[in-house]
Amino acid sequence: MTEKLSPVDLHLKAMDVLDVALAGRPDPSGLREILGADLEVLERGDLVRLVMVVAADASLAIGPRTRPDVRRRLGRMRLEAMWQGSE
Amino acid sequence: MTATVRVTTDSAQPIWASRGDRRIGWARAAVGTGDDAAAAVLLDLLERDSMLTPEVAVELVPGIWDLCATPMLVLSVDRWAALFRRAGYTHDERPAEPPRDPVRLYRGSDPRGEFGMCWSSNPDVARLLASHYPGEGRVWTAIVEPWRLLAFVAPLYEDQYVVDTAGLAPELFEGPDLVSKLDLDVLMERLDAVVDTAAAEGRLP
Repeated sequence: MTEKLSPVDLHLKAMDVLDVALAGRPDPSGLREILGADLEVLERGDLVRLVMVVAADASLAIGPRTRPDVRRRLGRMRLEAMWQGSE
Repeated sequence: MTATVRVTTDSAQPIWASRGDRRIGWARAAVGTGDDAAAAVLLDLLERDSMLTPEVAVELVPGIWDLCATPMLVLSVDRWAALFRRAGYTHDERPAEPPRDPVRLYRGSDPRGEFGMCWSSNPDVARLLASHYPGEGRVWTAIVEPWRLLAFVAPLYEDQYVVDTAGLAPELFEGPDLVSKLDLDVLMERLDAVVDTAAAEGRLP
C-alpha cells in the first residue's frame, strides 16, 4: 500500500527529519527511526523528495551550503530512502 | 472619448522572454516543494525553446536531478543529457573540469535499469541499490569515457556520476545469486566507514 504525500504533509514530515538532522547526534539517524510506521506506506519517490526538501531547507537555514555534518546525515538518509521506499 | 492602448515591449528583450523567466521561477518553486517531475519538465521545455541559459542550467539541473528518485520515468536519457550538457560538467553542483581519464563505475538495479544514468564509483553503493530488488537485482560495471560523464553529484555516500548511457555497453559485475546474499548492515557499515575516513582526512564536501 502506498499513499501520495501532499506538499503540506511532505513539509511537515521534512521538518521532523530536519530536526533530527540538525540535532548533531554522533550516529546518523535513519529514516525508519524518525518516521516509524510511516515509512511502510511511503513511495520511494516521496521518500527521496522528502530528504531533498530537507536538504533544501537545511541549506536555507544554515547558509548557502549545508553544514558538512548535516549533509552527511542527509546523504545517508537519501541512500536509505533510495533503498527503502516502495515503487 | 476613445482610449488609446499602447502595447510596448522592452526592445532588448524578445517578447517571449518573460514567459521563459516565469518558467524558471516555476521550476525553482517546484524544487522548493519537492516536485521533481514538474521541475524537470519545465527545464526540458526551456531547453527545447532555447531559453535555458548555461547559468540557469548550472543552478537548476544538478539539483533537480538529485531530487528525482526515478529520473528515467520523468525524461529520457537524451533529454537529460541535453540538460546536463547545457550546464556543462559540474562537480557537486559547481562548474568543474571533467575527469581526464575513463573511470570504472558501477550501477545496481533490476534488469530494466541497466541503462539508467546514475552510476557510482563505489561498487557497494550499486550492491545496496541492487538489493532493493530481491531475486532480480544485479550490478553492472563499465569503463566510462570522460565525454559520457555529465556531472558528479551526491558526493556523500553515493559518489554518483551522471552518465550519458546512449550506446554504452555495461558488463554484468554481480548477478542476482550474489546480490541476494548481501548483508545490508555490513554494506551500510562499509559505506559509513568510507565517509568516516573522508571526514578524518578533512575531505568532506
